[in-house]
Amino acid sequence: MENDWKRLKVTGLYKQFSRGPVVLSNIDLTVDRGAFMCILGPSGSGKSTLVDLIAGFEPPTDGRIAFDDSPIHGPGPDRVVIFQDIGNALFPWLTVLENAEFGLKNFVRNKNERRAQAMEALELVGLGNDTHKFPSELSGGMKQRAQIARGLVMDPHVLIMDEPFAALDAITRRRMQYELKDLWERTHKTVIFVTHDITEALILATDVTVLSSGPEARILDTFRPELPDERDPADAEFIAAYRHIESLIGHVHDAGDVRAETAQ
Amino acid sequence: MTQAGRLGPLYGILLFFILWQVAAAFIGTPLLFPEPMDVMRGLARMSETGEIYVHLGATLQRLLVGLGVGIPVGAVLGCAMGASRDVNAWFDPYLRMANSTPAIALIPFALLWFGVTELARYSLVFYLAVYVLALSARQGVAQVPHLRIKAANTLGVLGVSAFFRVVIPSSFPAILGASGPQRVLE
Repeated sequence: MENDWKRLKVTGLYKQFSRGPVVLSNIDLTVDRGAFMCILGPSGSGKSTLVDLIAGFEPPTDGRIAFDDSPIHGPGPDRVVIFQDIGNALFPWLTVLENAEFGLKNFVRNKNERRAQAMEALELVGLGNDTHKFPSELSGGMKQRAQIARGLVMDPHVLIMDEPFAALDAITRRRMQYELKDLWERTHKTVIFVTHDITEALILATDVTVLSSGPEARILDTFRPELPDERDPADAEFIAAYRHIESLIGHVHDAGDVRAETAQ
Repeated sequence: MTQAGRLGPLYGILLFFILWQVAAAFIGTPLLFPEPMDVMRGLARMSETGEIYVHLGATLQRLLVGLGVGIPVGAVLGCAMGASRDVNAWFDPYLRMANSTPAIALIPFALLWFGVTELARYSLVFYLAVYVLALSARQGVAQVPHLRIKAANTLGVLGVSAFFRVVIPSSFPAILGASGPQRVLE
């Protein structure tokens, strides 16, 4: 893995599952190193497909995904995915610590070194005292923290988070958002964060990409919200950015309604 | 459901002995259908002479050999079938046949092929263990949540390594628990 990459570039990405509908159409995306890129889109907009492509779980039908000029090949620890499904993402037969060590086994020979690195990541997410618990003993928020630690320990180029807080209750979700923001400020790890929650995106993002609803989802807009570092959903600028995104997504819905009406 | 109480199973066993006694009295031919007390006396006599332990030992040995070889073979076969569509296609017909052929029906064949030998007995236990384990192992492997494999892959654990570190531990409860050893012993 090269370590002096500057940006993750997605060019002309196009995905169609065999004879099925076109899921993604002509996706261009640049994620600068150190950015927190939120990909926003309504349900069924192909967000998870985009995650699968960038993570390398699925090959694109056309187009290219590359760190600078070196294209990605399949899944790998330079692009660790944090999954939404809190019930299945962690390995239930391993403790929190063993989960965090899981990916290191192939890369770090020394057992004590592995343990030390996993402990460091777990302390970073506030699980330093729960290392010997099993996933079934953790709350939803703790499970996601454990999963984030298991990813961070690999020191990935990019942490890809696929609606990681969507399965949590509203209060825990908001707390996790601010915890993640705090974590990002301390590590400046590049993050691609997929969500359908506009507020969540605006709390976290340095960059926002808005996808249209599918099929044939395309990018409606990519922009850097001009917001202060401390994000407050009640701020006037925050509300303005929120409205902008809503109008982007809403505009597409309106167009659809118009088409539906004229068709009748 | 109401509480059965701790003595619940005992009532069932008691009923069994009563029915046995009634049936024995009704049939009236001790050689074909002995009374429960006769059987108990026989058991006591064999225990005294130690004869029963010889027979128990022989049965136990057949089980240990048949299961000891059959369980690993069946588990490996089932895991391979669960992991690979090709392997599954090769062996699935045999598994279906085995599943609809009770081992009892094969006793005459085992005796014909191997004679009245220990090998004939081992082979029957082996047969039973292999297909039962293969069935549950295949199901266990096929039911591993795909997300767990993706989670391993994204952490750089791929292919065979992911199979041994994620798929096997994930399906272990299904292989050993669900229907494996109990069904073999039935």
